Amino acid sequence: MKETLLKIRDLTIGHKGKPLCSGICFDICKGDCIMLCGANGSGKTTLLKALTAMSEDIVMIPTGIPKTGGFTLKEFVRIGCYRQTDMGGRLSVQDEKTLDNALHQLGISHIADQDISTLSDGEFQKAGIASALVRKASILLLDEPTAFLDAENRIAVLRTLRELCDGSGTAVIFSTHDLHDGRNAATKVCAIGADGIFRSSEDDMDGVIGSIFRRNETRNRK
Amino acid sequence: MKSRRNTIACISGICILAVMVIADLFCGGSADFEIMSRLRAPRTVTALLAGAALALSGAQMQSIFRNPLADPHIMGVSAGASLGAAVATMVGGPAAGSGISTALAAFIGAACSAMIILAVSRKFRHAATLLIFGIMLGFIVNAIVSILQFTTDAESLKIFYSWSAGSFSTSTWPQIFIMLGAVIIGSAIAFSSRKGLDIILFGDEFAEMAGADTSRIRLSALMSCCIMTGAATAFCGPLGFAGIVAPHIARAAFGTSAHRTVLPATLMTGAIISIGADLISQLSPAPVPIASTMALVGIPIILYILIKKPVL
Repeated sequence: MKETLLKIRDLTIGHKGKPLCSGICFDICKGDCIMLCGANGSGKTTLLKALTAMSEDIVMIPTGIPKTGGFTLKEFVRIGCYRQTDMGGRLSVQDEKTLDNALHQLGISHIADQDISTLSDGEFQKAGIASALVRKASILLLDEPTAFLDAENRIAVLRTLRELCDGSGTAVIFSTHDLHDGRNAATKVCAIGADGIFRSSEDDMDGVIGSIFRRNETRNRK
Repeated sequence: MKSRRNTIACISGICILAVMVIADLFCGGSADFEIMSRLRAPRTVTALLAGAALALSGAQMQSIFRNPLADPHIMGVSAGASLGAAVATMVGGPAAGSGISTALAAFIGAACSAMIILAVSRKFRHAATLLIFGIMLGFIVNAIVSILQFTTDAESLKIFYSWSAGSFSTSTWPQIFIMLGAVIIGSAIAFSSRKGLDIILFGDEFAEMAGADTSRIRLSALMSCCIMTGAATAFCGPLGFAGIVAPHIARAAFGTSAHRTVLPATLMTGAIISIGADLISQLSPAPVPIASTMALVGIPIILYILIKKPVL
């Protein structure tokens, strides 16, 4: 029996006062690797942002972070740990050790001193994940982490996320339009269907994915 | 290897600055104490402080607007300061154009422009649109200054014309101390928010998700810009381009965008550029206004930046 980190019950999300999706119910357990899918504008990012606001242990990595040159990968990870660093942007000795471990765990320690403008999109995505690990996130949210990535980098990032869940017990929720690769990496699927109904399942993942294409289907909430 | 590069860049910068300061102090020939303390030293110190103030303002504006061409001059903040200084000089008469009231009026003018820029900056998604807005704002403010010129007396107009050409030689020691105070306060604000200036370079969404208050970072950076630009513009005239060029040279020399390095490096580079412009003005056969020298030196570098890193 997996330890439940967060129980979401009857959550309604919306934008500028207009509800996008209501009746959202699902559990986030330790080690879960959850794929969140749905059409553009269905409310995936809004849901992730709503979850971020629930606890400081929930860390979200947005999509499309500009790769500003003039910073090494390690400096970027430190910058991402804004609340943990002192006024000069330095981490404590303990957090520096956590940072080194995170880089090692994600397989990017060999490029720690490389300028981020020279990194591939996949490596840069992993740097963002490393900063979330240093922030000791128990639940990690990624908004379309595989967008703009080629097949090789897409699989590498998804594999890293799954290894993170299996290895350290961190729960990961990632939104994606890449249904095939995302399904392979996930242990659970959540979808905001074409009918605006939220569904989630560990057992019938394909059925839940199918709901984003079908209208007028009965609810099957977990 | 990076620390060795930083050490070399730092020592080189200090040496260049020291040579420039000595050259600027002694370029007239005579080393008479009276001439030195009353004329040359105030001029050199003014150039140093004005360059540092404008460059540090430019570095902060480039970061908060994530725009390599942002600086107080282009974004209309200097124009706002000019309007404030013009109002103080023309309405208050020649006596008002020399002290803290001018600096205060210039600060208020700069702050008004900066607040307008800040208010519209979130509406423009493209960097070029904000630049164009800043340029247009500058035109409008300069048009108001022109109207003021028509309504003032000949004496105030003469003072305003010589001020608008830019000069480091008209500052008195009390004015220099006001500028020094502005640079100290502005630098302190900038250095205290260096961590925020770093994270804002990676976008508002990333910064806010990491727990940074982007509005507060922008406000404190603009406050610092207004204090420094207001003082420099009030006493030296509307000087442009040092604010754009200096941060780029600093980043290239030190090979980093981290503000803990970029801010002090920009301060030093701005001072070097400003004293260099003053030296060129002094050594030229005919008197050349500082604003023109700055433009002649700065604009080719800006054009080079545009070609290398197009933003339009």
